[in-house]
Amino acid sequence: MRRLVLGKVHGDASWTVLLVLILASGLTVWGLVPSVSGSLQTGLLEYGNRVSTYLVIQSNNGQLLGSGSPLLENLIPQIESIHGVQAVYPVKYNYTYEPAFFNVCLPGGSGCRNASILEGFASAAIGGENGYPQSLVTLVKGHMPQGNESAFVVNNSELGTFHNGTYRFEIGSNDWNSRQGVKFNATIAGVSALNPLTGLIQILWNRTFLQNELGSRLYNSTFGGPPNFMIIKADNVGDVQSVATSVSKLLESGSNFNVIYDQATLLALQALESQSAPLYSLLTGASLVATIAVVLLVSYLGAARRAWEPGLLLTQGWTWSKYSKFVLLYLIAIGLIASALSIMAVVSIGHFLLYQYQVSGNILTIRTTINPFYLISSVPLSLAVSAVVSLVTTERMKHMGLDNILREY
Amino acid sequence: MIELKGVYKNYGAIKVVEGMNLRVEDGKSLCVLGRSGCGKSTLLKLIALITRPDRGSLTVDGEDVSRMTDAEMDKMRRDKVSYSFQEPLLIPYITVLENVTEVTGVTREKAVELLTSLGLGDRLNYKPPKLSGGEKKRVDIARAILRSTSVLVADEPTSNLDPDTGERVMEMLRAHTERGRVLVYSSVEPSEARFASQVINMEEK
Repeated sequence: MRRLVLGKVHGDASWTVLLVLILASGLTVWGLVPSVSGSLQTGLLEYGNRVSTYLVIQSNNGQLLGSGSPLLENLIPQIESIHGVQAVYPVKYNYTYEPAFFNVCLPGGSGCRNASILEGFASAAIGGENGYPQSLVTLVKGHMPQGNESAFVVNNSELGTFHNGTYRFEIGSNDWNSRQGVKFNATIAGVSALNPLTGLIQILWNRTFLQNELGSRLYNSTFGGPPNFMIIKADNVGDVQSVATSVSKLLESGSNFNVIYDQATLLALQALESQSAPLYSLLTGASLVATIAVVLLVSYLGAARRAWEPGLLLTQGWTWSKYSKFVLLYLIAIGLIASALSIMAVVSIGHFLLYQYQVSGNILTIRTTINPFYLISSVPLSLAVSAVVSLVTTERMKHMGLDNILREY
Repeated sequence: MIELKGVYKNYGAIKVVEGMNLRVEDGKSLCVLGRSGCGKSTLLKLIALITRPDRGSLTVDGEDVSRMTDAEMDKMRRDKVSYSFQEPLLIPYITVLENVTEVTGVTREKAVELLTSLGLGDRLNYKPPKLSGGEKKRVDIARAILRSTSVLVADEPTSNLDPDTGERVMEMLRAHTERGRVLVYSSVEPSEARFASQVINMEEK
């Protein structure tokens, strides 16, 4: 029977290729859809857990405070003890000013002249006591400032103000002509991915450079001292709301501080978790059912194509069970070929499948990780499909009866 | 031995076999004569256990097959009856030799010997689409002969064959009865009745 099976695989090539392609397509979908959906889900949730697990304490009405607050400093141990809080990062920030020049034409025909305004950017030094934690800086380009490099990191990749070049800054005064502040030149070292909350602090300075440039007295009065901004990292997105509630209770009413978090993203992620998972499961199940249905239908219809074949074999001493075994072996051969093809297809396609999302101005790239369970399970699945199809086709032939199937040749 | 008692077979409203009675003892042969469409093939299919009688009894080697289940009939067909088609039926994707060995399970040596004696020695590794009608017919008959069952049914075994080959084939089929077995064959040519010990003319039913 082995030679007969191999002969049919090879000799009945068009039919074999058709069944292999249908089955391989279905198995590829079976291997790919759950992997893609799993990767998307995991990727988005990981991103969500990375980005939307942050809360910040800032002044009421969204106004960043210029001076530090002992209140925040005193609350750190209590906030750290709240269930679901992973870490607390107190930050002292201040403003860095940069003059912006433009042409102003006055009404009444008195002509145009150059004018300037001072643009202030919320800034913090990277690292150190009450500095912006370096662990939260995710560079999307450039590098971290090194040594005494007169450079800064733009903490908001959507901030279009800065491009490559040297900028003239002032720290310590909001009046360009004042003698209180220190003026200096600096360049961009890198750009950090935007987090809508932590990105409220727009410029991150090289601490060493800033300390040298400002001197200890001015540095301590601008970027030292108690924090005026606090970043809280929750364990996961599910903890964010309860942490926000607990922290709000700790903050006294009228303290000028409030807690904010990215509620929209949080809700979207929770919806993704609760609603998309069943959808992906449904897609996977539906693709499998569709594959089996198509293979069954094609095999069922195809059985009539060579109905005389079982007729011939039965008149030559075969029993229906022997014929059923022959069909099963043929379909197993097809199933194994289809499995091998589908495994190669899943691995190849999965390698090139990249999903990119625009998230808060950044491109979130999610690669497809092939789930080995679905890949390996394609083999027993193809064998199970083969068994079902052989059973169905044999039963159909039996139902037709030997006399009828021979009448068609 | 085969025996039919009051056997009827209809296809819809068409009465093909009506109240047929016949008996063929072991070692005997029966030639079923008649024009095309007179019901010869239906009678042969009844005897070859391909179809069941609507009424009456059909006994093969003492066992009444008309009361058997499908599985019992499968087994009976496997053990007792071999059949050669009117239009040769071969599997196109395997060779001539494999059409005999793989389908019937006989040894390669026996298959080669008989196929060679039927003039197919140089066609053993050909696939059926490359054979002539006569060559296909001989392969089909070789397959039935090699199964060595107690009943051999051949539907118009000499059709598509030249006279010499037809004669040789009929001699081989007759040799089957010499081993105490039953041969039932059909023909449109009355002259072919000379190879049989019994003759039935379906046109005189």
